[in-house]
Amino acid sequence: MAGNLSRNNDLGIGQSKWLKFITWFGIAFLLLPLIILIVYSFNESRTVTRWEGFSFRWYKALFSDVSIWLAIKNSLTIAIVSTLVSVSLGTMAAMLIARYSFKGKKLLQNILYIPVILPDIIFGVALLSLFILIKFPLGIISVICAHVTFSFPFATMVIMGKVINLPESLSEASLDLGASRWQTFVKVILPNIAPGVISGALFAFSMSIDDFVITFFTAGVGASTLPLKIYSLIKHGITPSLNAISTILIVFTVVVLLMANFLQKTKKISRSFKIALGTFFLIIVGLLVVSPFFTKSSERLNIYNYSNYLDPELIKKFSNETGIKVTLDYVNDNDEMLAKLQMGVAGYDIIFPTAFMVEIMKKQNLLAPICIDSIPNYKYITPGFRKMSFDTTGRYYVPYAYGYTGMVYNSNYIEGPVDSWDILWDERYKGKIMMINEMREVFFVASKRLGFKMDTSLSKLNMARDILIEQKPLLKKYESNAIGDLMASEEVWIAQDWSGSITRLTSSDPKFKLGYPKEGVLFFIDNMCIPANAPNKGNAERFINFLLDPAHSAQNINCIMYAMPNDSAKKLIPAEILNNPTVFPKIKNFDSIEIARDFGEFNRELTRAWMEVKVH
Amino acid sequence: MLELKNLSKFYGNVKAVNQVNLTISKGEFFCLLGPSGCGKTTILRMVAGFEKVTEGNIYLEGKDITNDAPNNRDVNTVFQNYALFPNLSVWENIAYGLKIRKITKDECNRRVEDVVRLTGLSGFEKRMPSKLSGGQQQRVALARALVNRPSILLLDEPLSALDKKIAEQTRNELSELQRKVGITFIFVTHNQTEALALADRIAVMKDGIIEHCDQPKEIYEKPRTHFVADFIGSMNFFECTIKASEDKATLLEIPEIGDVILTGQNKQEAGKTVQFCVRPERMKISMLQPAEYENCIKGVIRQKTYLGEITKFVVELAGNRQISIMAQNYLLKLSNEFYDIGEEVNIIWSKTSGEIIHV
Ligand SMILES: Nc1ncnc2c1ncn2[C@@H]1O[C@H](COP(=O)(O)OP(=O)(O)O)[C@@H](O)[C@H]1O
Ligand SMILES: [Mg+2]
Repeated sequence: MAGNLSRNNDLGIGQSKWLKFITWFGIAFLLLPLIILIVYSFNESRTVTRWEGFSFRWYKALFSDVSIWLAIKNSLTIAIVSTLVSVSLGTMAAMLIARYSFKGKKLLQNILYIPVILPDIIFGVALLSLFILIKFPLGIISVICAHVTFSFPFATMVIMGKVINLPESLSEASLDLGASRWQTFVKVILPNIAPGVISGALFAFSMSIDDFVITFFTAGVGASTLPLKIYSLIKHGITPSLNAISTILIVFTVVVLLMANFLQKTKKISRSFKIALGTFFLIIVGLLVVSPFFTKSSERLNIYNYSNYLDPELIKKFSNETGIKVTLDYVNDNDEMLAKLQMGVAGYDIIFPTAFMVEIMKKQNLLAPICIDSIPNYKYITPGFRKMSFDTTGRYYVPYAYGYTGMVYNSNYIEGPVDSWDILWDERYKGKIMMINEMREVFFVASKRLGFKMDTSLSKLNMARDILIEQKPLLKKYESNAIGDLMASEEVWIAQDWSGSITRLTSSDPKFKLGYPKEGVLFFIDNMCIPANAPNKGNAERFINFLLDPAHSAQNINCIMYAMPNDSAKKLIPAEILNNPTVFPKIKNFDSIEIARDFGEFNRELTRAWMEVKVH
Repeated sequence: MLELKNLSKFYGNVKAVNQVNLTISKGEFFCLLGPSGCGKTTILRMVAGFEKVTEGNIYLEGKDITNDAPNNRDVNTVFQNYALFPNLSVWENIAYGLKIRKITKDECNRRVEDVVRLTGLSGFEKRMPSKLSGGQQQRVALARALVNRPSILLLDEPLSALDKKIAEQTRNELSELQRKVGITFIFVTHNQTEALALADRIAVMKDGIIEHCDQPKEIYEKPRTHFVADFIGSMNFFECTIKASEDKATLLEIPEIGDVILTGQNKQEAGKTVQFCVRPERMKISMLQPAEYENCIKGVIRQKTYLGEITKFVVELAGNRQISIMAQNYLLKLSNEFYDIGEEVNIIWSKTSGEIIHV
């Protein structure tokens, strides 16, 4: 016992008040964020920074969200299966290393440490390359394989601790008494290393539940886990809903680790505990095994979309009407979508790229032409959106939703009307101004302020760069994800913002107002596309047709609060949404709107200029 | 009956067991005795089947079991560290072998009860091994093996982990137990007292070889090699030459010390260099002249150690050689005060005592 060895002495070593203080301070620093997160998950308010009273609201919202349940189910399936596999392998490996001497034993032991030392991201990329190389389809199975590879070494080490402490003579005694090797393993070895096996299992389980990076690389269709889902929710800012999931995850992980710790200390596990644990796992495994049979269906459709960018009720309805099983996975941005397609193993049927990304994907032959004839509802699409500049054939995309980048401001501090980009250069609001952290958006604003169209002219680009550098001292920062939060906490008074986010802010509090600049705004159009290697192309077209139905379109707009180029649907939308300029901007001439394009070669210049602004 | 034929076990260059031949008969209490590292455990483990045989064969009741798996041999082991299953109670430990052999519940209970009574473990059946004393653990290990009624029971230093008093008590019980159950015991020990007390026959081992195998009395009285003589009890050795020898008496010349006579031996080859050895307790210190049937040499007392029962003297002979002499204290009582360090004394022993060892 270390406690018995340490004595107090007269020198004061180890008694310093400072030492204690620093230690406690460190621990507080470690725990404080978690405590704040847990407390704010019970906040009535939408924002993370202001307390408005206790409420279970976000937990309720969480548990009524089907996609979260699906993510939880995936996480549990992956965690349980990978745990069972890595513990079985780990027990074998531990027995092998502890009990036998063989050529390459030292090497094997060292290899086991690799996943422990290696950064997750490298491990993830390596696994992905392997899966692609051997044409292993990405999905739940690939994630399970990946999780086994990183949790198996940990399980082995924990189990080995117990195996090494088990005298070899116990096995010999059992053999001597007539037992076979297998009987010896079951009756003597396993009961004695059980605490190690169980705590190894709990470690493996919590590692699997928590993993983000490796899962991110190896997940395919229908393998969205809870951490992936959480990450996709961050897109909409840090909401209390996120705090609620995180709280549940923290509680769960802590319980699992406490159990692991407890089991490592105890020599013998009580019978009732064994039974309880066994039943618990049996129930979960049972549920997971049984659940696929309820939803079994040969027809499938795999959608890859941003979270909260498609009404889940519509998916349900589509499934009910057609019997097609729909899987929805979450993407975080265009680049991620591109990366998944380039890997060639993703298996998605519908993706939602922004206009400039459609252009890039088309160039790289990643998209399949869409058969417009099998989409009768295509006729409802506003004609101006059908053959746009980014794909003049109009065969590779069906426009989904559109919006623009304007401004949002706090009318308590800023006098209206806000109708020009100039206000973002206003000295009076120094330190309270924010710009989006995206080069296209930022340079567009600068070009507009200078009064010209953004194109591939180097001199224009440099002028835009110069006024951005001039603006920098006035800025709070460049930020894309937490715009709503920083506005709500009033750390920022005026921000460049996407229309969807502006809609949420203005409807949450009347003090927030839209600033629509007369110089013009940058539009974005998100589109439905079918990847070239989509496994269920026909179903994808059916789904697109389903979404274009005016009634469905209207329902979808009501849900996601983004405009869609569907004139017949507009008649079915409540007036207050239709007249909300953040949802439906007043556009006289659709041909003249500016949308973010792919600049091709010029991208390099743009990036350089952006870097120059950033580092200034 | 167990037979070892030319049994060898090599670990690389180490000849742990080298060409051992042994026959152990049914019901015998057989002892393997030797210093640590001489290969006793290795022999036992080969008989049990835990160690692959390098060369030679093992026959049990005439059947070759050299390559049988340990769980197919009618042999059970009591391990040095007992190797009780920590997850099972005393009762479950003992019943383990019977349960594996699918013996009926009634029969199993009856047999476990019998051996529990036999080994004096009644009342401890429900305890876990970690809650038992060393002596009790040892009994459980014994009971667990005995309950299977093997042809042979192998015991690897079963008493070495116990303290002296308990070891002695257990030793007596073990001897009694063996007579009761009539199972062949092969008992490994490095403790000569245990071996002498328990065994019907002892095999003394050194460096993987059996030096001498015989009954305890023969081993003690007529050791065949220097090693055996030295290892068992203590012994004084004299390098000497055989001056003359006839049927019942031999005259030996010990250089610088003088001539001694040994009677009761077979005729020896004259002129040969041999070792003459006498046990310290057979010699006595005296001021008197020897009787006609005694040998006598001179020496100076260098050390005197009182050991309770006996007093041990170290006496220096001519040419700086030292020998030890043990005197029973009840005989010494008065004379104890007579002989003191530095005194020159006569060392006397009977001409019938001593042994010749050929080198
Ligand atoms: N597994 C092994 N590998 C190498 N040498 C061994 C092994 N086991 C025993 N030995 C050697 O064999 C010799 C006999 O060992 P052992 O039978 O255990 O001796 P004892 O039981 O008489 O003390 C020793 O020299 C020991 O070092
Ligand atoms: Mg030994």
